[in-house]
Amino acid sequence: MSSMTPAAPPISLRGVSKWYGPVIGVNGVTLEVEPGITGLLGPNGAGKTTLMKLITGQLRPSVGEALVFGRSVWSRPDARRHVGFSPEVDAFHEEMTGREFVTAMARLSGIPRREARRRAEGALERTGMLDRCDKRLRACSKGMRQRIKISQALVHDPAVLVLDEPLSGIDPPGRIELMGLLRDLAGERKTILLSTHILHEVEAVTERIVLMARGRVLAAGYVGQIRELLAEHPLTVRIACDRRRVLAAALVGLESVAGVALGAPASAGEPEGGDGPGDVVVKVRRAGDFFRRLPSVVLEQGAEVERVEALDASVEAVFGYLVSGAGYGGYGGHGWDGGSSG
Amino acid sequence: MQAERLGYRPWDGTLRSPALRWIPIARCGLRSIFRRRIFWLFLFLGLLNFLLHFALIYALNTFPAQVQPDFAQRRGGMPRLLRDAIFTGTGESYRNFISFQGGVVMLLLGFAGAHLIGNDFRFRAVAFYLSKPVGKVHYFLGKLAAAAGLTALITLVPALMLFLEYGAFTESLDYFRDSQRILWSIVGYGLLVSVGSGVLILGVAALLQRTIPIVVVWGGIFVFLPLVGEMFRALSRERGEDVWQWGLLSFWSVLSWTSNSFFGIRDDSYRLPYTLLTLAAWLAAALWLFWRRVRAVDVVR
Repeated sequence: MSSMTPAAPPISLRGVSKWYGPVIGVNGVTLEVEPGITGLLGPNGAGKTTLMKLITGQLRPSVGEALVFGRSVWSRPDARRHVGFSPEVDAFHEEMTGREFVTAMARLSGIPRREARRRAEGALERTGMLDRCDKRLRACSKGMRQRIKISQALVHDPAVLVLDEPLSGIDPPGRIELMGLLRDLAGERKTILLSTHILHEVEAVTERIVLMARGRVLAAGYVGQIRELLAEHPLTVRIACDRRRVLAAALVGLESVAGVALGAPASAGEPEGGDGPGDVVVKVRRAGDFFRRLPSVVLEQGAEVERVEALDASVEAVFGYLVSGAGYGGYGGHGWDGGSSG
Repeated sequence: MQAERLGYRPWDGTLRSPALRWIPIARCGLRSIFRRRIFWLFLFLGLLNFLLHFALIYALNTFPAQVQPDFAQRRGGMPRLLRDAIFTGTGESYRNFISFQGGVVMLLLGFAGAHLIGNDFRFRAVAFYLSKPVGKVHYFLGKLAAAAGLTALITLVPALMLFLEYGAFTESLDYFRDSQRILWSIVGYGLLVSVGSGVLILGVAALLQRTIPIVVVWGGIFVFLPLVGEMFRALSRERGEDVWQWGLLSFWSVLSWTSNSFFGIRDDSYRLPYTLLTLAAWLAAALWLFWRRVRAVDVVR
């Protein structure tokens, strides 16, 4: 990796736009991606695939620059040696075995023949495919193909991995295994940009996300930070406690609280607005302030808190707020089927 | 074997020069082709003609010497197709041999097109290649090498083997010395056929992607267009003028006429500018189609 520019971010996009004739794929994206895992989220047609193709040097930006370690990945194909890409493709080289395919991809990266074989074996071992890699690809399940695709992306030891829906088609134990692999790779200082439509899987591997819609980056950063910036959508916090009327009254006085409501009582016999055990639902404007003040308020009121949970701080909730704000009116925050095309 | 399993580890070695990175692409393509039995059938069909010629050369040269003059006399009275098939070691023989292979080349490339190129575009697998540190030129060269290699296997390679066999049966090695032009003409024509039809299938397969449309259009280029050309040429003959330019509709005729100037078979020099222009037009169109697709643009539908 000697050709990397020191201190240059692994992935950097500077005012990148891409048009397909009259259709805009990516619109004025400026973004830096640091080592570790970053989730790339967005509904169909958001521009995720276009963005990944720009980062992997398959597309030329209409405007702006896509850089990998400070080098233009389009105009200097050699910069692509630092990039491994696993596309969302299901059928490829059906007549070849997994081992042959990964070896060929290693050779394509410029690795000498003998070393290419060894590296292919190492990459297949890492994705758990070594014992099944002599099957022809046409006989492989979708999950096996996914692992082979990840192997070919890993085979030349790139510092940047761009993975398009790498977990789709993999059974639950396999997903857990592959998510572990992604975490391990991130631990090796690799930069992983992961596109997926399964939001809770993103949450399982990273807190850092890039949200896209209509070709634009709506937000990039840690989920919690992005959530805090959504001033028009106060965070909803549910507190399960006793003496809930007293606690609710005390919380109303906090500057960071926008509203308080009494939730469901803990037992069926308890009246709706009673002071017994149950939920207090608080709308919070500045979550940091609120969570700093909450323990002292609880202590002052002598309440016993069983559980505190943020109801809409998940990736899915943040995504829902942002995407509906971007004009995807139909998004309800649940059952999103966003794919990766576009 | 176990000792070589070093597991996944960082790579700090020297990478090979990008100049030769089209080779793994060509190898991938050929490997996929050779794994399918139907292509072995096509190759076998392509080699039947070669085996026939090979056996004929052997037989003619091991017959009693007195039979040969009689045979040569009889050859004069044979139908043209049969007469052309009899090998005499002249440039015309080699040109006829390669031209005769056109039918099998058409079948072979027509069916290979989807496997070699069409599927890459259809399933968007081009991304595997183009995300690696290679340029689009490498991708083109790799695919062209695979297509041209297949064609050369049933045209150039057997023609060269026939040349060697024929020369080996002469009493001295003078044939090799005196037939330098034939040798280079075989190489030239073989490469022209292999590369020309290779570029053409790259364009057609990149455009159409699926086997059946590729075979239909490919068949149209090699069967329908020549028939149309022949028909118009016949009509022109009926009017008392032979408009040979209608023959330019046949890609194979264009190649064959161009090769006449290599072999020096007859004075076809008046045709050469036309054939070269037509060939350039065919290849430019195919290259344009291929290049348009290879940009890997997935237009949002």
